[in-house]
Amino acid sequence: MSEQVLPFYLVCDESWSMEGPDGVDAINGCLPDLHREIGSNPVVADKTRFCIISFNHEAQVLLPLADLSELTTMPAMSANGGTEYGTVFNLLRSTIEQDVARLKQDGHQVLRPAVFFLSDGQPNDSADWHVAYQRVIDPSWSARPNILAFAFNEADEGIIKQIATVRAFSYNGTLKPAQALQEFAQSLIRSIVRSGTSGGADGGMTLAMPDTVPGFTTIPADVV
Amino acid sequence: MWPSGGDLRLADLSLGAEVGSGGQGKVHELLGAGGGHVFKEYLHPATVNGAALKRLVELPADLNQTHREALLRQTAWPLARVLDRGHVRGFVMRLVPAEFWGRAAPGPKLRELQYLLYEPKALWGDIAPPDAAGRLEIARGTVSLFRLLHANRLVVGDVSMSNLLWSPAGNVFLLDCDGIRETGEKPVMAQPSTPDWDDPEQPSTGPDLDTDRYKLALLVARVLAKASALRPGQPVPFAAGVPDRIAGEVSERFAEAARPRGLRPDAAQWARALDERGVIELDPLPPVRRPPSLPQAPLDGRRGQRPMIQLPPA
Repeated sequence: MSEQVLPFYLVCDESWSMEGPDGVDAINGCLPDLHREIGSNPVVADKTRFCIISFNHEAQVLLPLADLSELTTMPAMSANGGTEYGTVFNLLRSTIEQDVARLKQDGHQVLRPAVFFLSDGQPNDSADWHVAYQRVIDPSWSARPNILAFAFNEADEGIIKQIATVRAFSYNGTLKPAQALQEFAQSLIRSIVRSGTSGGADGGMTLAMPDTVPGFTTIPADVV
Repeated sequence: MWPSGGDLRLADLSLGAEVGSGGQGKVHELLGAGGGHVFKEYLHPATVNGAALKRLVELPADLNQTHREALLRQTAWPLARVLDRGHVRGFVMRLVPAEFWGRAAPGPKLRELQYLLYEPKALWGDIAPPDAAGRLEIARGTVSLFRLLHANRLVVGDVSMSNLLWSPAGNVFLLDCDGIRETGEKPVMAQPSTPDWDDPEQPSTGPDLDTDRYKLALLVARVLAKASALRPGQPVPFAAGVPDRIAGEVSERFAEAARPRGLRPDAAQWARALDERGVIELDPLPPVRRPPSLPQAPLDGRRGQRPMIQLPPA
């Protein structure tokens, strides 16, 4: 029997406005927690994979899809540049395509990937990003991911709702920005742990998504 | 001894830190009179069958003393329901004993069965999986606990890598006991399932004793093989040091777990397979001897027939 694997993608804005302790520093501070929690849970580490893609006006795969228990270092995010969504969605599509093909080659049964998308600004390519985004959610693409989108600080709630395919969250100011980002990271950790250990009716894994995240207001994703 | 019987009121509990959370509820440490215990608070109390939970709480009193003590020592059994304004909100159970806690990289972690199924990693801290002798001890302890539960018609249901704990001394401790149900009775709530721990032949009505037997087979073989996804029908790649006799018998029983429902090995068979003392092979019995055919004394009428009373004509 092939082993099921559920890939998670953290797609995080690192434009200049994310600079400092209320931005990428808070996320960077949570990455060791994520590594320790997932890496010390053998079943979850075995059944999930984790990738970090960061973006500003460019996009890059910071951490290629990996078994977290195998890692000894993780690249840090560093803020600068503008905000463009088109390039990151193009990269997300091609990265998922390659990752899924490789996992299948290794004999895994790959579950629909989950994307945690976080942005704090408005895209400078507002006229163009939809084309790249449509390729990510293309119904004819079997590996199209489930997307949970988080609007932080100045991000446009309307745009985040368009990006989310299952659920969106909007920063509501009830927590300090750094605390809210920690809660964002915790929701990601919990989602990975619970997905790796909770079964569906057929005995396989299911994606466990957060219903609420402290510091954020849950908003339904747009129906497309 | 606390709790002293009967339901508890939420308002009377002194809640400490949250020590865990899962799909069904949160677990809070209890302070004051409830020290040494925890409170499991259901996330969706409306879905809880309060009568079934009450029955579980009362069940140990119906067991004989040996079974009762063994059950309460080896499980986080529900000890009292917790009500809020008359509605069930959760229950109280004992704190997991210290021997079942390890210290991993993120902090204290329960020594879950899953750590026996993979190659150890530095992030596991002092959770060091035992050698073959230790694994056998854990398998025996688990089988013994299942014998006790099944002898009392108790179905565990969600047997998995997360809800059975082990200690370096070879003891075991069962969690999530509110998922246990008596045969023929309804469960406290819909039973969760765990990936890779499903019974392909589980009836649509939910897990039963036969499902438990299948999962017990998975547990024993996976612990002895350090394998997380082994299934009946596959050979068991035993960890180095498992005695040949035990390996042979466990392999046979594991293969039998692939048979149809009703024919899977039960806990008693697993206990024999894992027993160090082994079994004495007995020769086949000689053919049954027939009684000799001797002359029989003549009786009035045919042998075995009653004498007949002749009645005068009416």
